[in-house]
Amino acid sequence: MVIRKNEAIILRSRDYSESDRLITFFTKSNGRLTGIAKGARRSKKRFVHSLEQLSYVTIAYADRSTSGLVRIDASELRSAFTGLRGDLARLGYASLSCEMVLEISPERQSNSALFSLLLQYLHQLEQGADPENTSLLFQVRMLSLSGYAPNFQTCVFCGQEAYSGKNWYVSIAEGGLLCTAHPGIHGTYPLSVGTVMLLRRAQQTSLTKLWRLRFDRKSREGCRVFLLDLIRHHLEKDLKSLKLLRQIGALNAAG
Amino acid sequence: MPAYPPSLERLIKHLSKLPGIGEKTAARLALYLLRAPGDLAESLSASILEVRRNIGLCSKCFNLSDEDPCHICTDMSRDLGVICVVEEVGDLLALEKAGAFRGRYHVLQGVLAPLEGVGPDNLRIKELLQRVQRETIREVILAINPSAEGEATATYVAGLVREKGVNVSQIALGIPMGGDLKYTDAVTLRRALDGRRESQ
Ligand SMILES: [Zn+2]
Ligand SMILES: [Zn+2]
Repeated sequence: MVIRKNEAIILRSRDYSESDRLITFFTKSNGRLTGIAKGARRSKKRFVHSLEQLSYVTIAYADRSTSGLVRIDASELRSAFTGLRGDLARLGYASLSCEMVLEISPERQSNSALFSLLLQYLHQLEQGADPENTSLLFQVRMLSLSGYAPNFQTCVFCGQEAYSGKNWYVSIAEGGLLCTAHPGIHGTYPLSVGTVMLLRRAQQTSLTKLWRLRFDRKSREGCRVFLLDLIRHHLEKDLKSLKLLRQIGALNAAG
Repeated sequence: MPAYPPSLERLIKHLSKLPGIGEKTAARLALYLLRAPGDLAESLSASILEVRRNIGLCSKCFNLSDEDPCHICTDMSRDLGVICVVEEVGDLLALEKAGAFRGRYHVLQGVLAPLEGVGPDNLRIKELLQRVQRETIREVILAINPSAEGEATATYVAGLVREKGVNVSQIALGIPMGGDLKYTDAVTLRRALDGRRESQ
């Protein structure tokens, strides 16, 4: 039995039995883990709201193997991101990212860059950054950090550089850009060259500069559907958080 | 090869589907019912059927009830100008037991839970707004549990009710009776201070 202490973000918190809760959390140094918090339902004192979804905590857990559930011993709140609770769109986008990380990150595989991205993203949202813009930046970066970065450099067929030409297409099946010389390819999304440049920058720039990038209204329309379809393609499932965002009209054009 | 006759085996299987009941307990219950004195088995099965047939949701407040509207909604001695909004029927029952509230209720049937795919359309929010508009309501009291989802729900509902020109208040959060400041967490202490009032 190894006892570990780790910075973590609570991705999901569910009732497990009469008195226990099942917690999925993303740690800074050990990736995604799921554990049981004994008595977390009844004696709220032991874990006083430090195991709620979106909480940034220092968590202590006992791990007896290299797979399966861990036993959560203690959790101390670093930030509850309470600022997100007052705005449904912000809460919805925050939940969407947690769900994406939950689904895209393999269990027990360390990815500290993805951890920093999620943590900074939640801070940005809480501090009032435009939720959709911030979410799009998060999605592009998350895909890169998880090994699913589409090729935004050159046409995947003929190698033409992406800064020439005006209009581009991107294909999920081909894994990147297509120039206009290859018509008739199925399932492509049109992107302006400006949007392509923006996506490239979002993949490459430093994390601190990432949040300064801005998608204008037109590039949002192009990216919103494409990124969600791409993520759905990799996860092979629909994301539940989209339902709430659709209901409150935050994702008008999204499919 | 099953140890019990098939009909008994079936009863055990059904009982073990109930929450908190495992295979062993189910077998014990089944054997007890088999040998139970008097008409316990008959009246038990009759009351299960009766509950299933007669209990539904009040079409006004979404409380559990065997009449529609429920007895609280039709009680004219209650304050008709105040609605207390709760998450679930269990919360309504707790408030009723305390006997401290004399208005009427509205049960949302849950809270907004993005990760579970629960949005505003999946709760009884639209119906609350219709009541606020149609009935003469002075005040809506939000008695929603202070979890992350609960708070987001309360803020969302408060905004919509306020748009209709009706006062919204929220139950106070703070130190429980018999509690101790030393053992109270920081968030609760901060809320307790924020929610202080002039002493009487
Ligand atoms: Zn090409
Ligand atoms: Zn009623």
